[in-house]
Amino acid sequence: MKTVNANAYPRKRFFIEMFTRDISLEDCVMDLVDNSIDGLIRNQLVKLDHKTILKNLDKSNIEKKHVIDITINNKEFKIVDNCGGIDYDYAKEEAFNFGHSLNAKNYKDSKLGVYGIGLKRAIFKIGNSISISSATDTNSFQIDLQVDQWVKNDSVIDDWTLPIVKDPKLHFKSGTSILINKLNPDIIERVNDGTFFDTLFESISKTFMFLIPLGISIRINNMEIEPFKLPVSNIEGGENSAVSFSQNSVKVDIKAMFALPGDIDKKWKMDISGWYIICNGRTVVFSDKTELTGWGIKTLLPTYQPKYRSFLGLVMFSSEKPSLLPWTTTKRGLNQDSPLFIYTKNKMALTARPVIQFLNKRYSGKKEEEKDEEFSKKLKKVSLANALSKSTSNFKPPSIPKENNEDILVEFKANKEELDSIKKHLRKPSYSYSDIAQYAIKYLLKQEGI
Amino acid sequence: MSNPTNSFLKVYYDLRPAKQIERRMLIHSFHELRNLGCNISKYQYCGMGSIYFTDYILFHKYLGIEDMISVEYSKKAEKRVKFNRPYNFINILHEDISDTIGKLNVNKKHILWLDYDDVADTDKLETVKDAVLKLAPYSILLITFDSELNKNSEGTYDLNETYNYYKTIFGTYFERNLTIDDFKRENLAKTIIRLTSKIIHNALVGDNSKIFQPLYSFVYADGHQMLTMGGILLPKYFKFDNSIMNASSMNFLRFTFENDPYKIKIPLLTRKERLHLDSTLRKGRKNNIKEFEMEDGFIENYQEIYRYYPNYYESLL
Repeated sequence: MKTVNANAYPRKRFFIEMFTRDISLEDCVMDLVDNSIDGLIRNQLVKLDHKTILKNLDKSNIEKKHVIDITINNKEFKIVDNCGGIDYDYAKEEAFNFGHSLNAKNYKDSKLGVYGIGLKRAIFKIGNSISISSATDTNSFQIDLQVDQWVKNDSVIDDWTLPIVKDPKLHFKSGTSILINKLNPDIIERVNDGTFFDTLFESISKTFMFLIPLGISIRINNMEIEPFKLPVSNIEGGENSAVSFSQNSVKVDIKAMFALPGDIDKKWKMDISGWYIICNGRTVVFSDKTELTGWGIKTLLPTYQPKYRSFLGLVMFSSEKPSLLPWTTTKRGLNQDSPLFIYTKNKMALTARPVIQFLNKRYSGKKEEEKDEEFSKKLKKVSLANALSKSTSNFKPPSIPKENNEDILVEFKANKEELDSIKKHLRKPSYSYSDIAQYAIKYLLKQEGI
Repeated sequence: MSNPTNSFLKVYYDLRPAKQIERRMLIHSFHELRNLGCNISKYQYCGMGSIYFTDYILFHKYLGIEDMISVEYSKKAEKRVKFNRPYNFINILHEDISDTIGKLNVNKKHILWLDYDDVADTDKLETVKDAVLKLAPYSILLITFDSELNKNSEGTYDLNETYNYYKTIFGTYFERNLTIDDFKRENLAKTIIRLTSKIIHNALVGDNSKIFQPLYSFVYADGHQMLTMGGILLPKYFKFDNSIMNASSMNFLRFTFENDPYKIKIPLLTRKERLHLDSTLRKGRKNNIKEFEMEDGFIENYQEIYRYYPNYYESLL
């Protein structure tokens, strides 16, 4: 019998579909912004260590030396940065491969994660006519691509290349420009749907809230994106809860505190309450109230409830080796199997516990609004750097005049006939139904000797 | 947050003979822990002394510990607790033990005894996890729970209720292959100990600084069936060997939580009978007592715990 070979070729159309379906346009843009910031780090224009980040938070009037300029409309998508550029040899040998080859280790040690998946995904998802040009201090390149033509040639391995021009004449230095025309129809629709820009602004504002203050300007259609301001606070006459540790070249800082209530209405907003997790300055988890950060998991935290809306938790991971951080390769999620993350979750619960217990005690009675006002008066607005300065501290709650906070409001339905018969039995016609219930509790305590 | 049951108001704590045997066994083993390099007398003891402080007296007298904290949640007996404090150096804290754990000094080594008088619940299990996270290597952690839910109105234990209760509080630590049988009285302590050990284990995932070596797994009943489990936290690469502990002289030790706990049983003997047994029993040989009737197994049982058997006297003062 003759042995023949069955086809097992990679198909371009398959990769394109796989890439483009599972990611939103916002995430594509975020990936490209990530790449630009990666460029800054790779070219050592910016440091992402904990100290540098903290030092730069809250500084106003920082010179915006590094610019990421994005233009999006229904005709074109453009992202231009001055973040150092991509090296020609890397572009030729590695950057556009679908996956890393074995000799990729030279490039792997660059400070931040996977290089290139974001770029490929973005260009295939967004449009048909692509032009990428980049210049470092030493060399430059340009790649022009018509996607539909490129997809058609899919029979030999040489079809899996892109034409690259070395050292073309470029009108910029030390940066990268990606220009996409002939946008795909669903992209055009998304851009025009009325919510896209708002969502994008918010995502960038939150994801890069600690990095923008390092002097990075991110603009969309000429509008500067302001970093999200985390409403941290210190307790007057008290202490936030903080824990800090190092594990395998990763430094972890955990803080549990109260958020400042809104300026005008003095109320806490649930949508910014919860845990924030930052990896090397990039927000990976924003205001999480789910099992991901331990809520509703036995021996960690209770299920999140509105009474915890003033809770704000912050976890900052930092490392010289980003592959050790517990994030996924897309840098948008957390690797829940990471032993470091499991350990950190345990420590997060430990750090948050006294704060949660304080909130449990507070909201066990009535008159929430009055209590809130008293409580919020004890919270001082402080700079981020100030709130994050102590690496370890034991929680010391705000001293609020104690009313009888051992009392809990109990509400339940009871059968009227039964209550009436008890009232009769006790011979206390003046008792209200509430009085009867209270009597029953006292009676049980006495009878059982509790 | 749970409300402790103030059981000191109900039971004369000093007169719990099985508990007393447990305490003395623990003390014996703490002496042997010196072989691991532990300077026990310099440890801080943190426990729940109630108004009796029995363990505090023993640990001070026989281990030499002077750095002591007693945590008592109830505000009803603040003065009474202070009045009964046997030594001035015992620091009494009126707070929930979970608060105390959050503030423990991690530069010290501890003996921490979460000596609860009621059943495990969500809050207590959180406290166990926090304790493991917080304690420094070479610290000893002990956890005591009541294992039995209260009898129902017919005076029996509802197995279904017990199963469901523990399934709820253990959450993701519960195991699908556990059945009602695992919650029968004869298996209950072992099941709870095993499930709790998973929490201890989870607290150490990803921790490069320490490991937990089980040492204790007791079950006893002065009233309700109680369980005590515990062990020592050691530096991550410590090579623990049972023989360090001179374990042959302490067959009540348990180096894993997977096996049956050690059951503390006390044969009831009169003073005269005990003195006779002490003077005639020989180790390693079959002993026959002709002077008085003995139930089967009594002699072996007594031989195991004779060193720790408490004596109670009433004296005319």
